[in-house]
Amino acid sequence: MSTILMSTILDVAAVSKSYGPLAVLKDVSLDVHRGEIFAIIGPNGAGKTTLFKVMTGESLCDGGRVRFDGADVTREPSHRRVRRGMGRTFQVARVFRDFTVRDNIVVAIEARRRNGGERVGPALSMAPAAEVVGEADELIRDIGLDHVRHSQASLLSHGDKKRLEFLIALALRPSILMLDEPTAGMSPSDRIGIAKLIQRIRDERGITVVMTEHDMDIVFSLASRIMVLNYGEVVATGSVADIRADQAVREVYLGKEMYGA
Amino acid sequence: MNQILFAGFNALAFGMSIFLVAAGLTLIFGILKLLNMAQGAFFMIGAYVAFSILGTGSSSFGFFLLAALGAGLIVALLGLITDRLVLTRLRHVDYHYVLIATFALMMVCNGLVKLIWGVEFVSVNPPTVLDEPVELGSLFVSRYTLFIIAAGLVVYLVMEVALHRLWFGKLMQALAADSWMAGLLGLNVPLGLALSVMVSFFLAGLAGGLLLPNQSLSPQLGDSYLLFAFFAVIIGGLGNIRGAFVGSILLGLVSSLNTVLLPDMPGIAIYVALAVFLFVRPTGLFPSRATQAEPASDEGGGSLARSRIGRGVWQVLGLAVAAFAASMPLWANEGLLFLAGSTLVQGLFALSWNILFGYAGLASFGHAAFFALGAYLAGAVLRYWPAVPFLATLLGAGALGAAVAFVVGALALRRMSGIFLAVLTVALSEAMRVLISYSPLLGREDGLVNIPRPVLHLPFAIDLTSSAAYFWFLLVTTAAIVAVLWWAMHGRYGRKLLSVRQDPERAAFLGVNVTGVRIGAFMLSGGVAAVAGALYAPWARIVTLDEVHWLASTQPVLNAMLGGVNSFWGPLLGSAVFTVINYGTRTLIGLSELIVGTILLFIVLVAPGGIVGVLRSAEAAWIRRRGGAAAPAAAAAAPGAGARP
Repeated sequence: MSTILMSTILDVAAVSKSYGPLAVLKDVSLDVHRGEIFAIIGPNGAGKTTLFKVMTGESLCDGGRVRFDGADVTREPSHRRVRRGMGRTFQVARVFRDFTVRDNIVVAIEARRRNGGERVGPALSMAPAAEVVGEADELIRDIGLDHVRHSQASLLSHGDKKRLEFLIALALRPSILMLDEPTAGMSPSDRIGIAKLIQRIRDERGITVVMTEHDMDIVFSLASRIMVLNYGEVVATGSVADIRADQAVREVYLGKEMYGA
Repeated sequence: MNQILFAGFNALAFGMSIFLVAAGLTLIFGILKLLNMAQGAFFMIGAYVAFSILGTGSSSFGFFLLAALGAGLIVALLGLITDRLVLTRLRHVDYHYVLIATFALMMVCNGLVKLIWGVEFVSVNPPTVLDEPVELGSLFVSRYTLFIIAAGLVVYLVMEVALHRLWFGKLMQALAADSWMAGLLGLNVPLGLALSVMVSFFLAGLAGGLLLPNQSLSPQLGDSYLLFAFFAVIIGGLGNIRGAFVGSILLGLVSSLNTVLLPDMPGIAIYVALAVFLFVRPTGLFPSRATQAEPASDEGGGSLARSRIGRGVWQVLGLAVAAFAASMPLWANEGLLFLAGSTLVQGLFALSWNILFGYAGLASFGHAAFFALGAYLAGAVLRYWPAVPFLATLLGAGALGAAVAFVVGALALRRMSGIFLAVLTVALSEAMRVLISYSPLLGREDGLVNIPRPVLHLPFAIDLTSSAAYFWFLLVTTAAIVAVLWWAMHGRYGRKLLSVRQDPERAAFLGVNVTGVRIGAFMLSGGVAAVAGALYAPWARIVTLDEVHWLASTQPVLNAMLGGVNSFWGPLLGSAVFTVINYGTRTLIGLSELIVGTILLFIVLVAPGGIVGVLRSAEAAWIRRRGGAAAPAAAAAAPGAGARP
């Protein structure tokens, strides 16, 4: 028991949230272990997005607690959680559209250094510091966006925009990465690319990943554990095999058609 | 007891008259998500139209009502025209541009009113039946006041029923919730929107007609009502008719209490109440979803692409302009020199506004408050405490401007939407105007005159009392401030601001404290504006209440928009161009509002990028025509982050 507690990075305890009379989250609890890929699935309207926002600090919950990296962050705004090491991507990729790809990364690295109390660059210089640019270029090369390094972000293709968004998040050196439907609206080949990228981020950088996702192939191939949400309640939490075998899950979520079985 | 009753009665009367204006304002916001800065101006037009129908003599009650309805209909028609010509073109534009457009519209309306009806005050008697007092228990009240209260109640009830019970209200609600979906359901969206706009404007015109005998009629009529209606709507919750109703009554109560408790300072309590309210309950009494939605990305934002004209060319050009300006005291006459110096100050002022708008993505519509803060501070210090070093005064003005900006920003910017800032800055400049007009030290309505020019006591004394000397001082100081700002905006601070402007939520997930950054930018902007004001006071040697008038707040908006808000140098260029335009049209005195408003409206609708924007597109087109296959590669190679020419 204690070993599990030791390795918990994100702990959501009995969280509830209502919009007016509508209870969107009812007593939802989960704990994400360090280094795992934790997927939250559920039909539309199950409360995935709300739960996600409660974890990232975009909405605050009515009841319950959120602990991140040992600290109670229940009432903390997003930017504080980010400074504790939480990264996030959005369902529709959000990048700084008027900046070039490199400048998108540069502002992220500069923000990270500023937040960490590090020196951002020489006091009087206007151009970003050489080491900042160097780090940005290395990240860009690593993820394969070299060919568009100087393009304006708004001109990128859908897939490249998504990759850039991942890069911005990675530039912050997060300990956990929150991915809201990372493959939404993508072509099958782009989906595979993103799935590989998520796997790589976890394997190479040891970053914990929490994701919501509709594509079951991706969820089943990536996730260490899966949580199923329906009508704001947890239906089941467990390994891929557990979830596939779970009768309740089949009924509420997968229906009669047994997905992938 | 009687006094309390009477105060309560007055509160209700004042509240209802505010509500009559606020009703249309909140309706149009609820449906078009558009804060119509021109609502007060249309209210005023309604009053003038009713006046033209009625004349100054007493009239019968029926004729009076007919006139008010007629005013409503005419204003509704004007609203329809406005919607066709202006509003429909702005449906998918960043809301700041819409605010600016309706602001411009307000100026155009004010100018037209002056042109058609003149600037004299006129007063109109209530219809004969309403002109007598009536005894209510032990209280004597005017029948007209009773009528206003009744009219407010009737309008409220009719709107409540129409909006929540009748098909028309349901149609409007459907459009408000999701006009695209409403279209899919087979509703005639353009017709529905046009009808809603007409109803909103009808309400403004009707209110103008009904409230006509309430006060004397002058081209300033729209301002005060608009402001209070804004407050009511914000207190009640934007876009909510019940909220507007309750908010109006609350304002009436506050104002009435003010008259009883602080009779020497009429009108001040409302500003305090608004500030307290925004602090305690920023979403309003009846928060609606409409106030929470804010488009994430700034669609109106321009490209930051660097001009392909080399840096050397710009440097030469800049030096030439600086040399030309520096030589002016040697050959220009006093009038021309004054114009040039004022342009410098206006340029700095416009630049301060654009740091907020162009870099942080927030619009202030009361920026004159900061300018006036600095101007009055410098004027007062130079007049009463000449021993204070002038450079210290300048710094003090900057600090004071930043401090005031901090307070206003902390109140308005806790919520993501910039609409609160827009309204609160207008309120700030009005509150300043009221406060200054009460202060004998600051010359009340007459302003500070005969402000002496300073002598700088550096290790050696520099006498700035002559126009030439002070002009050179202006030139050097302005250049130094501009240089520092240029450096800051092109460095990492500018990058941070631009990232917040482009996508505040994304920026928050870089760990950036968006509210903090916005408040900081507002402080910088307010501080620079105050320094511009402090520089101006000894230059003009007179500071008056005109400096705090909302027209003065338009100036930096106009100059920045004219030159181009997506460029660092745009506001300076715009100020210079505007001075030329202003000089060229100086014989058309009295038309300044009309001209300024029309130019501003034209820019927003046709060339939102301003002069620099037009030049950049021309440059891009020219490169394309020259077979610019190599152009993208060359542009891509341009160094630097967030570079702006």
